[in-house]
Parts: sequence; structure tokens; C-alpha cells
Amino acid sequence: MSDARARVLSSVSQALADVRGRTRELPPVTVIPASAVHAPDLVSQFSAELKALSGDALVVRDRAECAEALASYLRGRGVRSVAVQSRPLAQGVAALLEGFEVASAVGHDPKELERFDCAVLEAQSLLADTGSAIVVLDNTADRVLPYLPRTCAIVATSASLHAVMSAQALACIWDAANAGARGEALIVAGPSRSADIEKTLVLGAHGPQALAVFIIENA
Amino acid sequence: MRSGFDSGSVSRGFRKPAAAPVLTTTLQRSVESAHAAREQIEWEMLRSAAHDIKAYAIENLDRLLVEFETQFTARGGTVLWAPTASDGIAHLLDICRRHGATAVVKGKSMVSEELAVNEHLAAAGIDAVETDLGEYIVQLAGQRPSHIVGPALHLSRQDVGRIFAEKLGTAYTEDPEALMSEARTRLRTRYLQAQVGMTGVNFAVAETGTIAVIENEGNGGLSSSVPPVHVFLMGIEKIIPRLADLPVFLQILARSATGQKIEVYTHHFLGAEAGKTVYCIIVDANRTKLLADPKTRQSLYCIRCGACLNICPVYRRAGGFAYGGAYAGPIGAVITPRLVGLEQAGELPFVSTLCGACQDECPVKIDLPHQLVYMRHKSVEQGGTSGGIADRGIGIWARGMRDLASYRRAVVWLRRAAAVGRRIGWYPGVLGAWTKSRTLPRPPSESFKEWWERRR
Repeated sequence: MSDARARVLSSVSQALADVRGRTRELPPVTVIPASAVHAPDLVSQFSAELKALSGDALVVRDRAECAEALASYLRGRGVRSVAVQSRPLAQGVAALLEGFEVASAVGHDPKELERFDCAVLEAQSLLADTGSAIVVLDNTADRVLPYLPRTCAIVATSASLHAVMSAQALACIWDAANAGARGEALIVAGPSRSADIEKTLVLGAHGPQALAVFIIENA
Repeated sequence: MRSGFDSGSVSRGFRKPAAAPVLTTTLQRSVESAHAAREQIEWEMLRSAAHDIKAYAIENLDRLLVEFETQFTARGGTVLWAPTASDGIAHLLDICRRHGATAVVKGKSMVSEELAVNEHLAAAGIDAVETDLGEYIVQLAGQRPSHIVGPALHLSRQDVGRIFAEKLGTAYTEDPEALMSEARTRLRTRYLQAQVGMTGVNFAVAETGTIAVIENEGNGGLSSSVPPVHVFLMGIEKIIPRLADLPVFLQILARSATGQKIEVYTHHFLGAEAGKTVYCIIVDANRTKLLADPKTRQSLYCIRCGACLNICPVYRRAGGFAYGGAYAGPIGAVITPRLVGLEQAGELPFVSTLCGACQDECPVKIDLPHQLVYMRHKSVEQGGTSGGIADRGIGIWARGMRDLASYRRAVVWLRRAAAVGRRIGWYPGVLGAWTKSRTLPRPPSESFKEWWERRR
């Protein structure tokens, strides 16, 4: 099939013969309007949206308070072991956790991470209009973290909160892509779900059944 | 080669439409939630923008495909080209052989359904399991998906309970949570054992080689991240020019598909990280036939949201199996005849009321009614229609209308034939379907012209 590429591209090119010479302008980049943001502040909007997705949002002052709130959340869910993404804020908060088995995901075979009860991830950006978080996962161990453990905790700074899916909000994805980063940039909005049986919503499909975002004011 | 299309089911499916009762309810709920989700954004502006971006991408497809290949390859991936469905399958089997794969986990992929990937892998001794819950259910049941977004929408919870009990040996339950939990437990082992993960593609960004995959369950994330090898399977039409174009589609796709503002997981695959092997198989498989015809080119704008299926009165009545292949509903009735050939699927463009609801729903503003009419013309030109009673009736009518004298004779004959009693309550043969539930007034004993001349 060495000529397969040439065959496909030739077929495509021939199929477009009628528009050759007619240059269609590349449309300008569409700015996503902020019409969907109604709450008095972005934190309220983010929290309300995430709650509607069966997730939790907690605002904390600093890393220490974040670790306390996270520990309380994890105890409430019966979590004993925590696997942590290789990002500084996630590592920093996890280092303050007491009473849990805490391990950095990196260095583990991705399949070993199945045994952990919770993943701690770091969001580069939060989107208030959808209650979603953007996480950049650049190695094989970190990449399985959003899906394998039953509980997912995401830490982020309040400065990373944006109203809508604007260029600024998505800059972390574009920067990663333009810099040739590998792996995955993931927008995650609440715990995993399915409505494949009679459109009945079930949480915890293949990924986590619970997800909380901790917004740190002074990280 | 095994085909993902069954022309026999088209004839059966539309002559005796038999959509499951549960389908009507679930489709109506889908439409209502989609409409509610749209109200929160500037819907018309976004769908116009999406239409324009797709128009640009499709008209520059040759250049953008090469740009995507360059960028994807620079990020450690391998692009494989498949002019035909057979080539796509050959690539997939070759990858499995090269990596010693005996087990494959699959995220949702319509191209995979189109190419009948599962059957081909099974024939090669490779165990391929669908991981999307709906796809898993229909795979267990030995069926095809009946809907682009909700593969098992035609099944009730009782049906699913019975399928699980019969195929998995579990105790019967119709609780969706318990059924999901059972599937989760069983599939978790499969992710960990599989050597190859496969997913479809929602959008492929030419500028950066980034691939976007959108899902709710996390099965796409697991299929792509846990096995050491990941294969993307995509049609040539999935290309968009820039990463900055993606947010427009993210705004409209989830709202149209599931009535959500955004789906739970929007994966942007950036490239193959250390320890990972990534392939992207780009499939033509007759898409260039749709591309070559300016009248059907727009059908390649489709983002597979399923909105046109949800609203279509014919789909609601007949269900997805009636369309015979991977793509049901109005979009399936346009593209399938080109993908599999008019000789096989020439009837499909006729299974529409041309009410236009599909066009109103389409988030990328595909002019589906005109494309359906156009494909009807092509079907008639190529003798792809069934030559049924409608064709014969219209033929007789056309002959009569060519000659005034024979037209008058026919009208007089018909009037006399029907001139008994006050109403017609019975028609012979297939016409009897009309009079089953209604009667018609008898025609008057004289024509308007005769009446007019008598009065003058």
C-alpha cells in the first residue's frame, strides 16, 4: 500500500477540481461570547455548573487549607490511597496530606495505578460557564489518572478561572500543542457518566464516580 | 470483504417500520434537552461559524490533510492512508500483528462500524471489545448500533437486563446503575489486558496535528491511555484548519448530541509520549465520491451529532436498523448511497418526508432536504429505485397526462367506477392501507367542466 497516500490525496485533489482557483477565505477565529455567564462572580458560576454535573467545588485560602479540605473530602469517600500527577501544585498539596498512602504516578506502570482510590490532578485552567477543568497530561502514568481511580480531585488556582472557552482560557492547550508537547490536554467536566440505557443518567461509568475541584486563592 | 451495509434490511425496515416503542420517548427527550441547551448560547452565530469553517476545510482538504500528516508525524505519530475500506482493515490487522495484539479495546467510532472492524478482527483471531456502554450492549446482543450517538437507544432497560443475563450469565436486573457497574467491572479487566486501543476521531486539527475526541464515559480515555498502542480511525472529512476553530465545535456538538453544555471528557491528543505508539488511519472509502459532487459535498460537513436522526419522523417510525448501515437518519440517507453504491442503497434517499426538520436541527447547517432530493435524482438516473407501485402509478399518470383525450376518458372511467354510495371505504391491494382508518368522499357524477358548460 505504498501508493495509498498518493491515491487518497489524488482522489481528493481531483474531487476538488471545480473549486481550484476559487479561493475561499479562511473564516476569522470565532470569539465565544460570554452570554452564558450569569452568576455574580465566576467562582459562583463555576460551582453552580459543576454541582449541576454532580461534582463539587470548594474554595480554599492556601495549600494548607486545600490539603485539609481535600483530606476531609477523601475520608468522606473512604479513600485510602492517592496517586498524584507530576505537576507542582498537585504535588505540593498532596505532600501536605496526612493519613493516606500518597504516591506520585510517575514511575509507576500505568496499569498499577488501578489500585489507587483517588487521583489528584492539577488544572491549568477552569471554565466557569461549563464547570470544567483543563488538565495537561504529558506522560503515560499521568495520562491514566483521570480515568482509573474511582475518585478524582483537581486542584487549581483562582487565577486560572475564566468565564468561557476563550483564547485565554484555552491558552494552556494551544501552548502545549504549539510547543510540540506530547500526551493529552483534557477538558474534564464532572464525574464520568452514561445515559445509554433509556437515557437514564448513571454516574461513574468507566471513569471516576466522584469529582471535586479545589480552587486555591493564594497558591 | 465483509461490508457494514445490509441492503436487505432497508427493504424490510421501511416496508414494515418497526421502531421500538422506547425509541420515540428517548428521541423526544433528546430533542427537548438539545433545544434547552442551545438557548443558553448564541446558537445561530455559532452554527454559521461552524458551517463556514467546515466549508473552508472541505474545499481545502487536500492541502489540510497533508498539513495534518506533517504535524501528527512530527509529534511522534504515524499516519496510514486507506483509499478503500479494505485498505483500512489491512492497516489495522497489520498493526495488530506487528504489536502481537490478541486483544483490542475500542472506543466509539462510526468509521469502525462502517468498515465492520469487529468482524474482521474476529476473523483474524483478535478479540475486539466495544467499551462504550451502548456499543457494548449491542455487541453482546449481536446487533449493530441503531443510532450514531446512542447505539442502544432502541433497547429498553428490560431488554438490556435480559441481554446481560443471557450473554454474561448475571442475575437479571433492569437497574441501569447495576448494569453499568457490571459492564464497568468486566471491561476494566479488558483495558488492562489489551495490547491495542482504538478510538474514532471527532476533529483533526491540521495546524497542530492535534486530534479531539469527545465522550462522557471515560472509555475513550481508557482505551487511548492504558494499552501501549493507540490507533485513531478517521474519515478524511474530520479535518479542521486551526486549533482556534475547535471551541466553536465544542459549543455545538455536545448540545446537539446529548443536550449537554460540554461532554465530560474532551481529549486533545497532542502526540505520542514516551512509551506509547500512536497511529492514525485516514480513510477515504468513497468519501471522495461525495466530495467530487458539488451537490453532495456539504454532507461531509457532518459532525455526527445525531440531531437529524432525533428529529426525523421517518427515523422515529422505522428506527436505525432500517437504514441498513452505520449511518441512519437523513444524513445516512444522503451519504450511504455514495459510500456503498447507489445500486445497493438507492432506496435510502426516498425514505424521507422532506419536512426540513433535519436542516433546522443540523448544527453545521447542512442542507439535507435538497441533498436528499438530489440523491433521488441520481438514484432514478442510475436505476437504483425499486420500481414499486408508486413508480408504476406515476408512469401511468404521466402517460395519461400527455394526451388530453385519454386523460378525459380515464377520468370518466374512474368516476363511474367509484359512483356507488356516498363514501369510499375500501381500496384494493396496497391502497387498502389508506382506507383502513379513513374513508373518502365519492367523486361527483360530473366534472367541473361539464357542470360549467351545463350552467352556461
